[in-house]
Parts: sequence; structure tokens; C-alpha cells
Amino acid sequence: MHTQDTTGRRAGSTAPAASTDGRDPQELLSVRSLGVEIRTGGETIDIVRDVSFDVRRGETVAILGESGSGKTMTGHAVMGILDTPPAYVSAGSVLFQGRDLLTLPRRERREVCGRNIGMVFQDSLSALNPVFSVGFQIAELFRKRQGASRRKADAKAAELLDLVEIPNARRRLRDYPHQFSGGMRQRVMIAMAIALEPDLLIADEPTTALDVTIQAQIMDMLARLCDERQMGLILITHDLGVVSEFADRIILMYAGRVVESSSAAALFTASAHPYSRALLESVPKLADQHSGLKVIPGSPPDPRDVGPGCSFAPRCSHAVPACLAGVPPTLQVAPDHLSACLFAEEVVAHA
Amino acid sequence: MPEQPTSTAAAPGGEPALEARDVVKHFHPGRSLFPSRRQTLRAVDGISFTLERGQTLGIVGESGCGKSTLARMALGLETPTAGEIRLQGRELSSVSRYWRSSVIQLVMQDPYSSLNPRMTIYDIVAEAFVAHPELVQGARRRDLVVEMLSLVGLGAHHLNKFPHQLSGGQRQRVGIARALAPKPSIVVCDEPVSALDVSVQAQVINLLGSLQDELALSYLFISHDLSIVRHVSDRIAVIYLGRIVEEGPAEVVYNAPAHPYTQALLASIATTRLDADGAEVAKPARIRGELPDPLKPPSGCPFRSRCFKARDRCAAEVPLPQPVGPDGHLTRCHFPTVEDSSPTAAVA
Repeated sequence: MHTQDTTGRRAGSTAPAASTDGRDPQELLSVRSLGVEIRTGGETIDIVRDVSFDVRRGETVAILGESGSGKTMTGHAVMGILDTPPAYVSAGSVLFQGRDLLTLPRRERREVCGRNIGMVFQDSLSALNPVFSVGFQIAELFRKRQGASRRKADAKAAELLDLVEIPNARRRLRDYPHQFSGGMRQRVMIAMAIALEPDLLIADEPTTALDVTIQAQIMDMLARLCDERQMGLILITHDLGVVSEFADRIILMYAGRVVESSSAAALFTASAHPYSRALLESVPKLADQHSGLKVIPGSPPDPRDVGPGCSFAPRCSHAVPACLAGVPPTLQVAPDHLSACLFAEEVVAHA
Repeated sequence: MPEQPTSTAAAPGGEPALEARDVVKHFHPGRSLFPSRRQTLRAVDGISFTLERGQTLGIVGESGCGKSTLARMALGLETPTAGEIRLQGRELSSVSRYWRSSVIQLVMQDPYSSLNPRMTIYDIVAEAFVAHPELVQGARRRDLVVEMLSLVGLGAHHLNKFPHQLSGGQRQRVGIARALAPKPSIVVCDEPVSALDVSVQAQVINLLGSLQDELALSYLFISHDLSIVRHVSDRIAVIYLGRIVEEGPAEVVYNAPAHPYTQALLASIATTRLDADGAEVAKPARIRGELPDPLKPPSGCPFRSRCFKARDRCAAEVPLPQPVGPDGHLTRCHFPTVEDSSPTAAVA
């Protein structure tokens, strides 16, 4: 984990030029009150509501949530690749190095998102083009974006495959995506995402489809690259284990909202929301066997019928009528530790 | 899940629920006209295990290691190339399909694709009674379907719904009700919770546990999630390239893994970087490389290409299963870790 002082030290050495406006030069991305809605035939469904978080240089921020929690939509909204229609950004701002991506002209936005923000998708088989060789697809980035010659672009592509630890990189450039294993394809995806040396990487479930052994290798590599290049990383995942090992900060989402946001250590040792607490207790631990798992009753709500109050209230053991009346305010339980629960203080005290 | 075998398991003279002896399954991908060019994929290469009644045997391994082929053979969906599988003491090839399906059933991984979208929940569960009419006839059938659903915690108001109207957890419960309808005594659970949301997984795990107690079921539990396998299993078999590399009581395999592969698997589980006092813990050594091409496995020990202990002997000699501890703790390794008192990695 990057401790505060090491990040601070790096701040001095790698401060970018554009810090004249008084912004924190370490600040990469600042998402404020982001909302995403899906409009279908007269019906509007809020998929993401009022999501705010920051990413700093060299920091790994995990957006943790179950399916339907809005974590992927949040990532897509930042990257500007929402399927529009039916999905639209309905509110908020996405400040990347001081510029609001949501109000940028389309052309400029594409420039920023292609060059300064990279994205790794979950399903590498469908994200890579099956009819072009892997080398062609990577080299294309250099040819199109940097005007590199074919020979130079190929050389750079080979370098990249080396960097992501693919054996026989030069020889494998001519292979097609289907000739790679799932783990190797994911490495190719990462190579493409970091090719133009972005400041920020968004990885959407990068290891979900992989075996644990390969997952560990890929996550180690991703962490190394982020550290070496001082990239910010948004890690979108549902895997508590991966989050606990690799994230610096955690944004926990439930039914489209951020329910808790804290440092990774705080979420696992002093969680301040009943949902995070219940989630941690429902996962079997290697240490204790046969103890019977604590169960969260019910299942996550359908985004179409989320009530006016706290979305977790129907499954929550702390719930009182006030929870259903209105969205609970976001309380600060400790520095840099927010929880959207009326009983946040009590939940922390119970730790 | 129960710590101790249920009463049926302790019954003297009772045959084990499921027994495999030197089971082999070879496939011949890309069939060639010329026998000399035929390649052999040894999906399962001499596996033996015993699943006692009322117990759970966890099967762990990477994708492609042969664990699903093994499950398919236990269910009679594939015929072994060699070796024998016994269901309650009866050789699988000699029993009728009808008897087999009343003894062993399957809970599938993906509750989204394993239920027919055009059938109602009633039809899905009642299908078992069409195949096994002796179980129930006429108007009683509906009652029994309701009973099966209530067993898995679903109300009768779901009867006329279609799968798409249910959540993932509810669908998996329907899948379990369908598997239990013919009153099997053995259930093969093939990754039963990996497609479910984290907050729902625990419900299904606990349900499988209470059903095992209630109905004295034996489970063959296949999963890649090591913490779940440990949670549910009495014994664990770790498979690598079609062979069991380590087998033993769950507790022992996790706390004192003898085979380098088991150790590497446990080290690969993502764990918190902080210990209880908030201090950073050292990362365990990860496994290198990927599963070798099963058509061209390494000579000798199949794991040697990724093993940190590999020496010349590993390339020359195939390691045989050898006992390394009490309660039938076996491993296939020339250099097993026999005395390992250090606790395995703490896990989030």
C-alpha cells in the first residue's frame, strides 16, 4: 500500500507542469455527484446516483460492488464510452487534471480518453478484434496516435508485450487473439491500455474470468506498472480479496450509490456501513471452517424500484423507519472515511 | 456443513457413496485418419478417490485440469477410458441410466443458462417426476413440487413464474430443487455459487449445508474458490493436469499443504496486505507461468515446469502418491513439505 508520505515524496519528483492554477498536482481525477440514467421507452431508470470520488497519481482506487451496483457504468461514464442511447450522464462532473470531461467537445474528449486514460476490459476475447493480429492491433495505436512508421510501431509493440511479461514477445506479435490463453489475452489488453503511457488506467474486472494463479500474476503486474509509471488506477471489481490486497482506497457501491468510501485498511478493520460489514461477514475465511456463514437476506434491488430511502434498508439489520424516508446523509466517521448510513457512528463503534 | 459424518456414513458395512479407482479419460482432439498422428489429451489420468456417505469431497484445480471431466464421468455423462467408478458400491457401467439418475444429480454453475427460459418453475422441478413416475403420481405431483421448493426456501407463489422473473440466487435455488427432486443421495455441485453475487453466495452455501444435514446428502463439490471449498469440504483433492497431486482432510490440506502446487494455489489467493496489528505482511511466492499444453505435458511430474523445487529427478520419474500425514493425507511429489507448522496465509 502506498502510504501517505511516499506519495508525498513522489509529488516533489514528478510534479506535472500544469499546476499553476493552484490545483494539487497529484490530483488526477475528481468525480463529483455523477449521475447516469437509462432512458427506455418513456421510462427513466437511475443507474448511478450522486457518485463522488477522487483518484491521485499512483493511487489504486477500487470501485467495489455487486452486479447492478453501477460500478461499471461509473467507469464507462468516466471513460466516455456509455452506450448512448439508452444510457446518459444525467448530472455531475468528471474533472480530469482540472478539465471537465463531460463538457469538453467530442474531439478533445476522445483525445484525452485515448491518450491520457487507458481502459482494460473484462472480456478480452470480445474486446480484441479477432481478424487482426495482436501485433497489428497494438502497433495501430502508435501509427494512428503518434504517426510512427510501421517498423517503429512494431518494435514498440514488441517492447510492450515484453513489458507485460508475454514470453517470446516478438514472435507472438503475429498471432491472433484466439491463439492466446485467457491470461495472456488479458496481458495484451493491458499492454494496449498502457501503450500511450496514460496517467490513469480504468480496469473493469480485469481478472474475473481467470484462475486464481493467473489472477495473482496479472494483478501483481498491474500493481508494478502503476507503481513504476505513477499511474492512477480505478479497479472496478466485486472481489473482496483482490480489493484488500491491491487497493489503496475503496469506493463501495450499492444500488447505484456510494455507501462507504475509505482507505482499504479502514474498510476491512473498521467498516462504517452495515452493508460492508455484512458483506465481509458473509465471505468464508480460510481461517475458520464450518462455522456457518452470516447471511444477508434477500438480494440486491432491481434498479427500477429503488425506493426514496436507503437502498440497503430492506436487507439491513439496523434498519428503522427513518431509513426508508430519505436518502441517508453521508457522514464522516474519520478523516477520509465516509459512510452513507444514519447509524454510521454506531456501526464503527461495534467494530 | 457438518463437521462429523452423519449417521448414515458411520453405518458399518455401508459402501462409500462414490468411489473412483484409477479412472482415466482420454480424448482425441482433431481426429486424424492415421493412427500414428492421433494426439491424446489425457483429461483425467488415473484418479482415485472415495466419497464417504454424508460427506463432502472438494475438488480444486485450475480450469483445464480435468475436474469437470471427472464430474461428468461420475454422472455417467462420459464413459471412462479405463478404471472404474462405483456408485454406492455398484459399477457405473453396469447400472441403468434410470437408477443412476435417482442416485446422483447435478447442480450446475450458471443459473441463468441452466434453466429452460420457456418452462415455468413448476415444469422445471416437475420434470424429474416425469422421468421418475414412481416417485409421485397425479395430483400429488403439485404438492411434491411445492414441497421441493419450500425445502430450498422458495414459496409456492413462484410456481407459475418463469426463470427470468427470479433473481440469480432464487434461480440457483430452483436448480437445487430440481436436482433434489428425484431424491438422490449424491449431488455433484459444479461451481454452484461462482455465478452469484457475493452477498447471495452465503445464502446458497448455507442452504447446501443444511440440506446435507437434513437429507444426509454426499457432495462432490467442485470450485475454484479455495476459501469456499475449505468451508464446505470434509476432504479435499487438488487436481493438476488430470492427476490428484494432493488429497487429505480439508483442515490438513489447508494448514499443512505438502505439495508445492497446493502451496502455490493457497499463496495465489488475494489476501489483505495488513495483519491484525495493521502491519504489512510479506507477499507469498506466486506460482509461475500457465498450465502447460495438456497435449504435451512435461515428462515426469507434470507440475515441474512451474515448480520452484523442480530437480532432475522430477523430469525423469513420475511421482507416485505417498502418504505424508495422518487420515490418508497423500501427495504426489518427490520432495513434499512434510513438516510445515507455519500457518498458511491469513485471508481477508
